[in-house]
Amino acid sequence: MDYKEVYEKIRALKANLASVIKGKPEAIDLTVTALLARGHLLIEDVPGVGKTTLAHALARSINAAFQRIQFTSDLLPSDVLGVTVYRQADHTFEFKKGPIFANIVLADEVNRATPKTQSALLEAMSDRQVSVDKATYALPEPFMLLATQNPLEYSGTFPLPESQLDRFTMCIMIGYPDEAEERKIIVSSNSFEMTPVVTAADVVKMQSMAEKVRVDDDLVGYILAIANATRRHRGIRLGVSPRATKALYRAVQAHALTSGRDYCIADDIKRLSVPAFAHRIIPAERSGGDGSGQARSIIEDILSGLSVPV
Amino acid sequence: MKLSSYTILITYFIASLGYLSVYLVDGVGAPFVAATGALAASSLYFNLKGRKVVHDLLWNILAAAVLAFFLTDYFVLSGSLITAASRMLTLLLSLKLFGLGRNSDYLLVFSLVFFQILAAAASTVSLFFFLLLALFVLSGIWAMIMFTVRKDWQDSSRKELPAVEFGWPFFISVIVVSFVSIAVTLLLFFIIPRMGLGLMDRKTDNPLKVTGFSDRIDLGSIAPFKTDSTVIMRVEALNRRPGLIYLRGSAFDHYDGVSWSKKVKKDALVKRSPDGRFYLKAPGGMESRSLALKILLEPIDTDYIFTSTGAYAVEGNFSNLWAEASGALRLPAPPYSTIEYRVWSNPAPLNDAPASPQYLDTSYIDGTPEGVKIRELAGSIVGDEKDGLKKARAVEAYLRKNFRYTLNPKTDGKKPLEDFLFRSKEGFCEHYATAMAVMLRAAGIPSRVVNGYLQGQWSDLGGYFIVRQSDAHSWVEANIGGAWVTFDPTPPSGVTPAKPSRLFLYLDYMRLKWDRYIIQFSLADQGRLAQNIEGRASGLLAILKKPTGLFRSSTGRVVVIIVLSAAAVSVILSLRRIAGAKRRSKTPDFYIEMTRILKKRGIQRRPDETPLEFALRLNNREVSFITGAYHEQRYGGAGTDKDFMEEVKKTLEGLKNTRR
Amino acid sequence: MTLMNIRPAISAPLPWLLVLAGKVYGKRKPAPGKRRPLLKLPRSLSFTREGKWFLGVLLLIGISAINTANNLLYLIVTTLLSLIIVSGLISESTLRKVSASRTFPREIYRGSPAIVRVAVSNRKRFLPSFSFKVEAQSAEGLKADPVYILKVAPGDEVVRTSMYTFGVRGKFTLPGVRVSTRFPFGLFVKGKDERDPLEVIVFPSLKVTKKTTVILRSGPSGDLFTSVKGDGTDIYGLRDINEGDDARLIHWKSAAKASKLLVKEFEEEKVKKVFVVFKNFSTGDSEAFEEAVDEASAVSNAFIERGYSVGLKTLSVEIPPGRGRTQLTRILEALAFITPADKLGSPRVRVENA
Repeated sequence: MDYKEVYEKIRALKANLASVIKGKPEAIDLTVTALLARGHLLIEDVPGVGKTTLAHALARSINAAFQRIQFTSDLLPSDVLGVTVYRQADHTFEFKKGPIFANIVLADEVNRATPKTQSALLEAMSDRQVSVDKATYALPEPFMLLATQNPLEYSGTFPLPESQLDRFTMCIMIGYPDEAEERKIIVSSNSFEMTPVVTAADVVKMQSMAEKVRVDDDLVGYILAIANATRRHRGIRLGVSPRATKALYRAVQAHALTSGRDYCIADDIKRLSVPAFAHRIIPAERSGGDGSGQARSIIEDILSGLSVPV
Repeated sequence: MKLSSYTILITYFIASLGYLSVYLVDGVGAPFVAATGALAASSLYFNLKGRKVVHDLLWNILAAAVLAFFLTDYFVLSGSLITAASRMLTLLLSLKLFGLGRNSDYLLVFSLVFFQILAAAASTVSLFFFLLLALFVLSGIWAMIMFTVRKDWQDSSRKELPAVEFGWPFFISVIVVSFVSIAVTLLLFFIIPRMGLGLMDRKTDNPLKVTGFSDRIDLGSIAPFKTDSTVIMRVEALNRRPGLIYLRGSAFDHYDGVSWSKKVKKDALVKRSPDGRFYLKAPGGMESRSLALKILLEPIDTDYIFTSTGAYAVEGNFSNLWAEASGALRLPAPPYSTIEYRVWSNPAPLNDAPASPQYLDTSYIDGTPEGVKIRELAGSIVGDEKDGLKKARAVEAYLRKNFRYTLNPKTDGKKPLEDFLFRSKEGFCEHYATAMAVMLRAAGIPSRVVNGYLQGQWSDLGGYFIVRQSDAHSWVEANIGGAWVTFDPTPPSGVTPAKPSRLFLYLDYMRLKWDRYIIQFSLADQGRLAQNIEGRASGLLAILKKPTGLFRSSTGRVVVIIVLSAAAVSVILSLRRIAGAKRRSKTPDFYIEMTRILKKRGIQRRPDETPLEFALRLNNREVSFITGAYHEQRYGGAGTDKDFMEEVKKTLEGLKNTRR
Repeated sequence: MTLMNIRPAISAPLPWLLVLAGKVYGKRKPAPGKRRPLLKLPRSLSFTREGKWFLGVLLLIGISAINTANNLLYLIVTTLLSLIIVSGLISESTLRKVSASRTFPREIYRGSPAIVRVAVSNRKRFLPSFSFKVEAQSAEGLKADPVYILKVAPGDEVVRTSMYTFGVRGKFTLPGVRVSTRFPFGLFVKGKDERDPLEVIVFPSLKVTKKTTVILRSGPSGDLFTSVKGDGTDIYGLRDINEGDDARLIHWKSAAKASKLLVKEFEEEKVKKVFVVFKNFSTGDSEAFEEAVDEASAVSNAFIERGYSVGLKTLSVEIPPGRGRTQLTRILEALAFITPADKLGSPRVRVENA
């Protein structure tokens, strides 16, 4: 597979998704980027804008196993990871894989579950494996977790801890469609038929290809400058971690690939730093309400203050 | 290497410097140093095993014992404080090496060595001392840095410091720091004001034994010294004149058959004149042609100082001088330390006061049976020559021609002169000089024997003569027509002295400079240094006022060279900086060119704008194309082929011409 | 003077005299009180114990050098002086262009050490910096561990952590950092003050005291420490194992006793709502007020940790009940800035049901 071929496949994938998620090329772009960066995606938006549809469509397009977990306050870790059960017949224990064992996992309303359950996802997200009762089970390749959370409902939720937020490559918002698109959505039929355009094996190949995308030293410097700025910014209480810069680096490589390039340009970084960093910083003063909106504007503020390498 | 190995290595190195410095201290003695050094070496065995033998209690007991030994040593044995203190320090050091453990133990070892070096400083004048001090600075800096870092580290983490940081780069930087430190040391040494009077306080307990300068000299007593290569003095001719330089010590006028002695005893005290010199007699209007010598005399056990023949003025750091009737000069006391003085002398003999009758004393010849033979011999050599000078030359030539030079003449010592003249016909300078003086007297010419030194070996490094014991010499002065003329009847020994090695010359040169500028450095030298600098500075000012003269004077040339090289260095540095800046910027030239074209039109990319954003903002075909090309080349590593560049160039031209 | 002087000059038994000098000068420690210098110099300099010894030795040898006009003693004096100069140059190069930036944790509690990330960078182009300390400039109510750094390569950055303990709550302004070094010879401590004003918010202490326990026990849900073990994980009872039960639920002790597999059943989780009521009456005793603030914080924390929905009521502020760490942060922030109200009384804390 060369870059042209990869680009064709990515274009087909994007077109496939766009046929379902109408009028949201940006969300689709970032979703594919996260997939190629071997990352996980946090989708933060109001209900009904197509978060679930996006996840489902992605899974279908790459012909991969899809699982959806609806997070509730009574969801237990074993409900996600799986349990070792007792078999009366032969008096043995057997591990029953939970819904996490799929290629694309949608964790719907992840902030509704208790922190204990949320943290069960931690190992799965970072190490792509699950440990239950001293046994370790590898997750399938590719593996991507899409988590959604609802920003408005504050009561009865457990906001994700920083350690977990840090494991999401990006956090995106889908946003309301514009009027024309919404009109199309209303009139179109509810059910959607999708044909797979790439295979799961293709995705794994594309992921390893993304890792080879060339990033100039000056651009790495630009990434570091942004990261350092978040650590020094007055409006930020906690800046981004090295894990975050690493994630941005990988995402930038994947983004270059989705744009049909085998090299990165400054725009990749500028474009991705908001979705990659905003959810990881903690603004100094919470002016209530929309914390993530504030974080986004801080990152944008940082970007406008840094000179781009040429 | 482990850190503990480093510490042991450096500790033993420093300790060995301590033993060497104690060796320099007078009166400590080599056996003591060897014994304690061996004791210290045996401690290495325990330290390599990491065992501390002398614990705190034992150390306190031993230290008390050493203190008791010190008191005994001081009051009973040596009586010298520095010697006793050095012995004490050395004993303490040897014992402490068995009790190394904490940082403070090492610190104590280093302090003990420092005080040993201090003791050496108070006792020695050896050049070797400087080597020891320099090595101590080097190793001390090494150890201090290591122990400071180690302590800081231990204070903060309570673990042992990894030794990785003390590898070769560290050692090289220590050497650099040491050199800087030694350079600063010397600079400070020369500028720090000497508040003491700077008199020669460096007394040595064992001055060099010299011969030929006591009141009574047995014939042949110089011989043992003729093979001794110890350096007696170094002589620098401030204005070189042709001819051998004879350095006169004392002169003798009475010969009794076995020894020479002085009968004329009319010593005169010479006072320092207001200009700081001692004038012995009038210069005789020949100052412009006089010979000026600068002499650095090692500590010797006689109070004579050496001057060139016909000396009329001496300058030196003496309170007063005694001038003997023969022209020999004596200090009030033997110097017992290196002294420096200058001598001015007339190149040609001058009419002096009429010779005292003692110089014609022939009582010895007249009193012995063989005296007649000597008179006969003298008469036959001189013949019926009337001129005094020609008579003397004849005697000198006769002796030079007919006798063999040897340091071991066959004589039983009872009649050395007669043995020389009539039997063995061999001898050395004393015999020749004695024979000549006696025969001149027989011929009616007043004469005397002078003991002193020949000029010795020439060192072209420092431009001075190295005068050794083996250059000791006897010659004759005869009063001819009222003036004392030098005659040297001794033929060349036939043995050409071994040419000194280059290394020896270098060492000797360093020793001279060491003596001159370190040991003997004084307030007067500082004054001279300041005057010199002032002179140079004012010369420089004068040159700067008249730029044409810049190349004529040496100072001017030096200044021009310094200024030019400084300018060259700064140009090179700034060029490198520019080049470096260029190398750092990897932006393709055509993109910079585009930026320039757009800037002329008042269009500029904001610093936070990416090139693509900029292109989108302008929405211009050419700019978009160039930006794409820029991306390909800058980040994609592509587009160095000709067609591509041609395309880019064309677009750039297009951009230049459109929208004018 | 000349002949005799050399002996008395050295003859004052130098080592012992120096031991004495060291005893006199070396042990004295600088007074801990802050003295404001009239003129603020860019570098501060003080002697270490070894440095004082060094100086003492230098002075003594200097005196004997002058006394005896012994040039070798002068040579040693100038060697020691040159070491001081070289030491000054090297320590300057160590401190030059070294800066530190600090990152504080999100939550800092009064009286408990906070882990601060100190990033020290060396912006010199060629020279590394060795063996120096970075510490917080002293400020009232702050106790900070110095950070020791062995080496920072040119252009490099080193990150260390330090413990900062704040003694007062509320907004705290840190004046900056002080970089100091004994490098290279350990004779002097050279330091430079770097202004880097930072503001942090110090929450009240969350330490559980006897009084806090009393408040919790007298709370609306009875004894919080004995009956409530955690959020919905209390064992309610045991039952026989069924097909498909999680193996982790097996209660092995009981299973062994009963010789059949038993699984644990848990108590249903129920959300309880409480208000922490803090009567922030003004009192002459500021310590008592601070204690009460700490109690209110600790009580709020205890309830939040046990999954309660907690609100805060004071005479000046009221926060509606909420759950989770964000709610706790909100309450603690309010308590961090709370000041005594106008009414006189003794400040106290109690818990009531919402």
